[in-house]
Amino acid sequence: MNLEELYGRHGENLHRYLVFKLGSAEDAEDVLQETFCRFARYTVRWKLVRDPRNFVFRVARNEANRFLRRALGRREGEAMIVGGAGREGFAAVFTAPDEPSLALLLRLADGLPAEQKEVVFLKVFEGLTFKEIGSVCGVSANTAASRYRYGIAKLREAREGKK
Amino acid sequence: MGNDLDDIEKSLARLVPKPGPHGLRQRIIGHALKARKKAVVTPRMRALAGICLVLTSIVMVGDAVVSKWQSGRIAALLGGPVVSKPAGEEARLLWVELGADLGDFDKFRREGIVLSRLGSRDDSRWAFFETRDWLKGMIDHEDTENYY
Repeated sequence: MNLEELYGRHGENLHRYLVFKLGSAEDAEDVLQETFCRFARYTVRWKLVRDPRNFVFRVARNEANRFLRRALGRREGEAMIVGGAGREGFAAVFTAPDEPSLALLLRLADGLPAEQKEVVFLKVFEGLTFKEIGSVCGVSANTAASRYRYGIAKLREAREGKK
Repeated sequence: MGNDLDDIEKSLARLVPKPGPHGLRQRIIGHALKARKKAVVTPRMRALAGICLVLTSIVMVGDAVVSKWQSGRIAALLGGPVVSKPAGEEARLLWVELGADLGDFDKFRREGIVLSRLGSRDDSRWAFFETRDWLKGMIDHEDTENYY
């Protein structure tokens, strides 16, 4: 696999996803580096991959989890993986243009539970299908879909409550 | 519900991504290429190791099969302890029929002789009678010198 081509297709998106997931641009860069080193070592595996976009996100996610376990220790790392390392994941990646309702939405989105936040991110910003999100996060497509619906419903309720 | 979903999705999609760090692409690709060069086990070595593993397995399995076949042939040529299943059964019947008062050790030795005698003949009925007479004679004239 040509690394230049791979980066051109997925590099920016993976970096954004990792910043969102880890809540830190520096950590995200380290993890992205590890992820691409891993891609560089894969040769046979690339030939077996059916959906490269899905695959690169899954590898990046696993690498981020490995990074958290290594940095924080097994127990705390696991807690961070479940609870979400990037508590301000959306705010770390996005800015709201001069529009108060969008700034509010950004804050509200960061208040979602980590698992719902991740699905919303992958669906809205990366355009992954529920099946692909399920594969990336290690859950079924139905679980991914229901997490998404719950997340969006919570955002709607919170936004209407704040109006 | 559908409209709400669309509405929230549309609002989220209006958020603007922050620009990535400058020179990230070069750093990432540079590191990945270095890692590929420094890899202890290169893809070519890995493929070679796989081929070696397959070849070793073929040689080991082949050797086991050939050894078994050769042992069978040698045993057949030497008339060794190649005892057919029916011959073993007949030997047991003989022991029951004779029921001689012998020690365990002798029994095993005798059974071994009977098995080899039965097994070395194609016509097992004749072998059965012949062996029984031979064995009876041995038991009547209990003498270890004459067993062989």
